[in-house]
Amino acid sequence: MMLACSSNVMALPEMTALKIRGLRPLSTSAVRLMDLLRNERATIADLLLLVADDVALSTNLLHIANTAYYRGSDPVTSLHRACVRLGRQGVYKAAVGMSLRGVLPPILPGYQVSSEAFMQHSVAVAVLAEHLARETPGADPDEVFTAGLLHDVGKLVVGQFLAEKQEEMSGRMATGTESIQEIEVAVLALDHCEIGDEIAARWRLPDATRAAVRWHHAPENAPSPRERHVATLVHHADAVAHLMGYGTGIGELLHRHTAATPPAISEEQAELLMGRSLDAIVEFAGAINAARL
Amino acid sequence: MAPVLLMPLATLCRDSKRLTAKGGGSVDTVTKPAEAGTPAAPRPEYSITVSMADLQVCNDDVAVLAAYALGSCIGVAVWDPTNHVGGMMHVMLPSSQTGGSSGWARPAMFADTAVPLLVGRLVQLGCTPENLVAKIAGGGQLLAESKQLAIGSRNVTAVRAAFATLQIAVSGEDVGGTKSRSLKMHLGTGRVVVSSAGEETNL
Repeated sequence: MMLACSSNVMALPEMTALKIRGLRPLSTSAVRLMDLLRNERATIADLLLLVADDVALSTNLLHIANTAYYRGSDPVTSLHRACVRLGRQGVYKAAVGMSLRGVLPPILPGYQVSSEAFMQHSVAVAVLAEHLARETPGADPDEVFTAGLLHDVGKLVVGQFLAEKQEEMSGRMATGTESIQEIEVAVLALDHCEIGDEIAARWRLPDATRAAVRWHHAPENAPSPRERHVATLVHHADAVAHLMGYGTGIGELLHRHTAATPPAISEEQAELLMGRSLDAIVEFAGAINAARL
Repeated sequence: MAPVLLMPLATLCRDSKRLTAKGGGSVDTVTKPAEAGTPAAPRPEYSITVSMADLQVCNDDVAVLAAYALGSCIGVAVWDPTNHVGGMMHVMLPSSQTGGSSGWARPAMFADTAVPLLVGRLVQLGCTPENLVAKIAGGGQLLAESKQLAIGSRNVTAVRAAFATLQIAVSGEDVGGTKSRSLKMHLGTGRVVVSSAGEETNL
């Protein structure tokens, strides 16, 4: 399978590998936090030590701890209190959110979406999937949040290929019958799930996240029940996010949803999910987009 | 002319805890510049964004109300041609009764409560229900063979029903399908524009 590029012709796997290597990696703090969370003996003190090392992260955590998404009765003014309020997972979520924003270009090529809108979509899917996970036992809601946040990471690379086929892509989108993911396959013979999986492997993302990245458009194909479960939650959340208008730019609704894999999502559940998640999405996305990196 | 009244309903409708919340994207206060003694140059248009689950009413001729990225949500533009007062809402869900009515303090979120609320605000600004012109856009759906997640079409049905109850005709619609739309209304002229994928259509 060959992909003709503007200047040279290179085998597709080589091209993708090159582009994946060319991505800015997630922040050191986010990667160190992932390792820390894998270590069950890690304490809040270890967390604090790690976070205090990163001035930008510390400042932003204080801000996030004071958003309505987390806010308790009193304002939080110390880094220690912020970490306690956010908890290990909360610190991690915020760090990964900021880290994702840090690797986004101002406009994502191919999809023509601003980093702000991409972040909004990612946060929407994260919050919606987390809320779904709370209602449907079988996966850790915090893990599902991170999985939702990073589910579209493959678009960072696929967009670079799509940018060279913009006309063909726009033509197909205008027909309104194919999903963006189907158009990727038709135009490039690959999609952002497949490429995302390679990025997830390179970035050593947690298993649940990698499953969501790989299978969120086809959860029924996930190999294990655990992977299937996380991918399905993210799949539903993705659909609801697109409906809410938190899509990813062009072709907002060109998204295919399947109810084939359990847990199912009922109409009523989807509506309640939208209503209950709105403020959290606005708050968290606002905090991440406002963070000084 | 009555002074400008702009209702930041997100603020009114949220509980006190939310009052200080940032990031809702809605306009909190917009005041019309004081009229100078001598006639000044025409003021430029300015835009007021109506966020999801919010509504705004306004009587400033140069204001443009706008609801973006509607998805399955519905943008509703209501205007009174006799006094150029209008309002817009960005409705998210069909019914305030979903999942039991408890816990929802957001009337602008639901078609069944938002429509009467918007009309009520317009009446407060001197509009007459019989004069009101309503136009709606949005209510889109995903690509799906089955009818799952048909929130868009339920929103359309609910908005139409709410206007029918108030005996207000919906005179323009661009709803359904897989288009994502944005809606704008120019208060000076009542022109309502739907844009989708870079194309603009007058409603």
